[in-house]
Amino acid sequence: MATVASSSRRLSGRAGSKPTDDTLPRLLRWDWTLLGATVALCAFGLVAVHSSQWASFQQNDPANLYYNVQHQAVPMVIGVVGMFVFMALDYRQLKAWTPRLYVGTTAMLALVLLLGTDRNGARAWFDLGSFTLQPSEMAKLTMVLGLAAVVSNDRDGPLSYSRFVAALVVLGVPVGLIMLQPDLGTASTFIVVAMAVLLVGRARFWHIVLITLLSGATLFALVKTEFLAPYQVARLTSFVDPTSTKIDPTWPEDKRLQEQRINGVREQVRYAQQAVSLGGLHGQGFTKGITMNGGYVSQTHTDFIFANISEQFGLVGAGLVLGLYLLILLRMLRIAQLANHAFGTLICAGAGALLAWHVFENVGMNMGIMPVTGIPLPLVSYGGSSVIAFLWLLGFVQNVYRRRDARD
Amino acid sequence: MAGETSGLRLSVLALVVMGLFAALFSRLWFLEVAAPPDLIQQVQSRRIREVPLPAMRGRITDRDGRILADNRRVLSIVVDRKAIQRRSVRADLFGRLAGVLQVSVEDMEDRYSGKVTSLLYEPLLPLPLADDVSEEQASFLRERGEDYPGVDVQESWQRVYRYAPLASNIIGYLGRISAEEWPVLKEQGYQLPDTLGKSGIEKEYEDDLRGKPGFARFEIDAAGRAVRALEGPENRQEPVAGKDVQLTVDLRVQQYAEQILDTELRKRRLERPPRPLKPGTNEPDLSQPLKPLFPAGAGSLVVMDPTNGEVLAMASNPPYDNRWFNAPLSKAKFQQLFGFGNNPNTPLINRVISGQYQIGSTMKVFTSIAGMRYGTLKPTDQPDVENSKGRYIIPNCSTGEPSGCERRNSGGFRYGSPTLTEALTVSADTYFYDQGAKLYEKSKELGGAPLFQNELRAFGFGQASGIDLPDENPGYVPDAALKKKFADRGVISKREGAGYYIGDNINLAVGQGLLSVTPLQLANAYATFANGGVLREPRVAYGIREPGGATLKGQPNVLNVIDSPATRTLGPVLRDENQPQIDLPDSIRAPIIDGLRGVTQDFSVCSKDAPCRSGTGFDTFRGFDYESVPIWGKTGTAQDVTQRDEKDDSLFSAFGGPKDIGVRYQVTAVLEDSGFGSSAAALTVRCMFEKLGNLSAFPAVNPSDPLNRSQTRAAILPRLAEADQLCLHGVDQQIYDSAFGTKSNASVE
Repeated sequence: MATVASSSRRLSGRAGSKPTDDTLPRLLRWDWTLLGATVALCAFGLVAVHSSQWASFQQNDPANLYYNVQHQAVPMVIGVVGMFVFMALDYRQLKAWTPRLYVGTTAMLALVLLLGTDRNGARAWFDLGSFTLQPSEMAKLTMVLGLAAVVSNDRDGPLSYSRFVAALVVLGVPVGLIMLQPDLGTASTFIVVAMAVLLVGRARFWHIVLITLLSGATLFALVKTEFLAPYQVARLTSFVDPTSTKIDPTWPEDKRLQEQRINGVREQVRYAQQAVSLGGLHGQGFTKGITMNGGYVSQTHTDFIFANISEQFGLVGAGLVLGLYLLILLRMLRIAQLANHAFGTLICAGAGALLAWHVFENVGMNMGIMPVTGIPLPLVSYGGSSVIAFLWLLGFVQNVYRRRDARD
Repeated sequence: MAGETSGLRLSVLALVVMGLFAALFSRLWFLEVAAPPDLIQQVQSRRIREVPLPAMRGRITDRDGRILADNRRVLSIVVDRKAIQRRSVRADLFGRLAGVLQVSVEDMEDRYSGKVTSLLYEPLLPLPLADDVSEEQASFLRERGEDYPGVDVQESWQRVYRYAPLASNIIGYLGRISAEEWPVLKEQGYQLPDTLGKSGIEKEYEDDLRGKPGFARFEIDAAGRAVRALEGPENRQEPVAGKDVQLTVDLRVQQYAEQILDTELRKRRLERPPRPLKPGTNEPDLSQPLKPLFPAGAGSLVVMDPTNGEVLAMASNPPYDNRWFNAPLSKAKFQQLFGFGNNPNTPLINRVISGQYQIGSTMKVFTSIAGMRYGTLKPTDQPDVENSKGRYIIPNCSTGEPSGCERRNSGGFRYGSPTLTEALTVSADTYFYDQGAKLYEKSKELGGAPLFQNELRAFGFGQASGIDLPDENPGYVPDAALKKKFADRGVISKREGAGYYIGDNINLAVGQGLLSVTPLQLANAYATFANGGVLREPRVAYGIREPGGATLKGQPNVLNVIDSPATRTLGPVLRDENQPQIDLPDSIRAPIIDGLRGVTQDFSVCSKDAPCRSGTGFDTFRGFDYESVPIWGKTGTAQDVTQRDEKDDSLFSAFGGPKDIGVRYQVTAVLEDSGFGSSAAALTVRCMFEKLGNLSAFPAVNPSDPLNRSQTRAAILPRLAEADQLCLHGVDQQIYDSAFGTKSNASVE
């Protein structure tokens, strides 16, 4: 296995220095496949965000038919500009900035608990008037950078204990803060990133097992101590059996409301699955997906946008989206291989794991095989913070690619 | 990148990623391509909503095409529910609409919040804010659509009874579906907000009138809002309008019947006995108020054509106005108008088909037929049946006879020994008591066959006439079985109910006793006699016509019944196919016909051993032009068990018609608690025949004024013209005015 990996590295090393690449100006020597897939996904995302609530806007507010698209396009532009900026800088120099970025975002995570706005039962947003900011999305970026910085070690041999403990601290503080929101989904992404970075960063096997056990125990404790509201628990469990409970009118009102809320979650799960099914091979057509465009499911443009895409564009459209993600992921892992520095490799591995987990969890919940959490479909779901964070992260990955040949 | 382990570990990561994506792809494949069909089905059914498109109800016209029940275009102001979801928008819109529509903001808010429960919440349909607005209000809002977003003018159809209250008892009314009806009606495609015929023709011909509702299917979203209307024939079916029903009723005859019946009853109610004189003087004693003579609370008048069973008029008094049922009525108002439950004179009973009466002497025609048929009566015989006091003594009477052994004549008169013709003309009770007794004996002789009852049943007594109106009462004819049933129910004593006695048959012979006959049954029995013995089902509907028939030029209220296509004609219908005609040879008919002629025409009938008397209806019909309009009739006075004269029901049934067209009319009047048949009932029949015989013209009929909902009566009939009041021997104007509510009525009513 090691031979295969190393030989492929050599092969691609040659490919990386192929003439076409050299003829390009240095600035343009980025991974065109990755960039193309990124742009394609963003474009697809804008279309999906538009169509997901098209019917609703058409009826309720036709003057603002393009509200969502406009509001998504602005952060996308910010994200793309940032992506190019982060491409242009040298990521190795950025390593020095990482502690500051990490501390900054962690402070924001703390602040949001004090000053943030509640939405969907979680306090995760700063309300800044015309737009909102979700610091946990930014924290994803700094988490990748922070963990990569702490774990990266260009010397051979397994990860030292001190680095492992440092990694645990870097992981633990933001995760703790996010658990308090509470936002288990986002917390899970951090843990996945940590596991990937530790895996690639040559951590000992039992370190990874330890993190898994710690996460499991925390989750168990949260449920047991009723830190999570019953409907929040239902979001995590209802994918197993999304059948609604029959509400008994003799129940006390509290219980009835609670059960109704839980049924709402189950309904969402069912409808999303049905919407995916209704897509068939070619889909129902742009804005014609009645389940998703018809308002059966809330969050059609955010959490459940994949069901929406699937219903409108069918297996072809949904497959294309998944294919683009897979392409991006393979490129990321490839760049991880190509990187000249462990920091670069770990950025790519962490970013890859982050993206893969987002896609798997989000698409999985849309198709009824994963619990319902609020984590978005990268680059596609409506939500500026997330789009910016992922575009910038991809900028880092491109950066690693551009500097694959650079020596210290 | 340093170290081969990192490369290996990256491969592990890559494998994990590939694994996750493999899972996603296979799940996607499973859901989209291999999806279970029932999942799709489940979604399809959820997202389609069917909205009924009501059909326009068929019209009801009289026989000449006057549109009695029509549909009126109603303009309502509605608002799109989505447009007023926001509180501030709603408050602003309602505030501005309140002035235009003259509806309070609170009222509109109540409608929005669903507090007005009569408006069934149909989230797909816009919310009605004001019903039945004027054209001006509608066009004001139409022209300013920009200023009133979401507001629309909607057209719907409302039942309108153009000539109400005339013929309300025939036409009936519509009502909402009741909880008991719902399970059945649901199967027939009704929707909960639908109305349907609850009474009269509206109920009887519901299936024709209703039409076929259509539907439109909409795709809806989770909130139940229509996303778009689906196209194609499977998704939209236009409603089919209901068919028109043309009645046999002639509204001119109907109006006149209602007017004279009502006027005569009022007259009777206002009649007072002569004032007693002050003791020792010739001055009337004014100190005591006079008690009314007759309660005269209710009555019926029916006009039919004996040759085919068509009902030309059917008046039931007290009348009601079916327009009351077009709008919600408070319980108190309903009670005030209809007094249901505690008022025996409630207007909602169509007494012509549901009123149960003893028919008194009008029975004697049928007693005579039975007697002649079974040989107990020979028309020329002059049986000696009275004792010196003018009483009839039941032969072989045992003391056990429950109703006693002696029967007196009504009014205590003596009739001597008349022939059949004379007995009918002067209505000699004793003559027919004797027949009752003889028929009883004859029955026994023949092994107990109920000869008399069978004869009566042949003429339609004791069974539903089969008229095309709901809620008909079949009545009954007394026999041993009925008596037993009544005794078991405790209606009569056990002793009385032990058997069918000779006294029962004697009572029956003069239309008394345990007998229940509706005015329509009486009319139809006379019609059957008049037409030579053919018992038909009376009909109020002449035929069914295709929807959309045009009205006459210049007469928007009259359907062109000559040119509008008919679907089917409904009559005449034999009551019993197996018994097409009752055998009525001339030997039986002629003496009865003679007797009935004499009732109204003979001034002096001198029976053997009795003073000469006039026909019972002679006084009432004095001056009637028999030459042009020959008629044959019979009075009846049905005694109440209390034997008090003022509680007698007054009956008169007659047939005839202008000479040139023959016997085309049968008129029967039953006036409750109104005294002798010769006075009250006969008078209304005479007036009716004067019009039917073209001796004078029927008053014109006009569409009515809008219903005044503040009035406290169930109906206010058009006033009888002064010239026509003369026919009822004049009506005291002062009393008439007060009776009609044009002046204070406290002093007399």
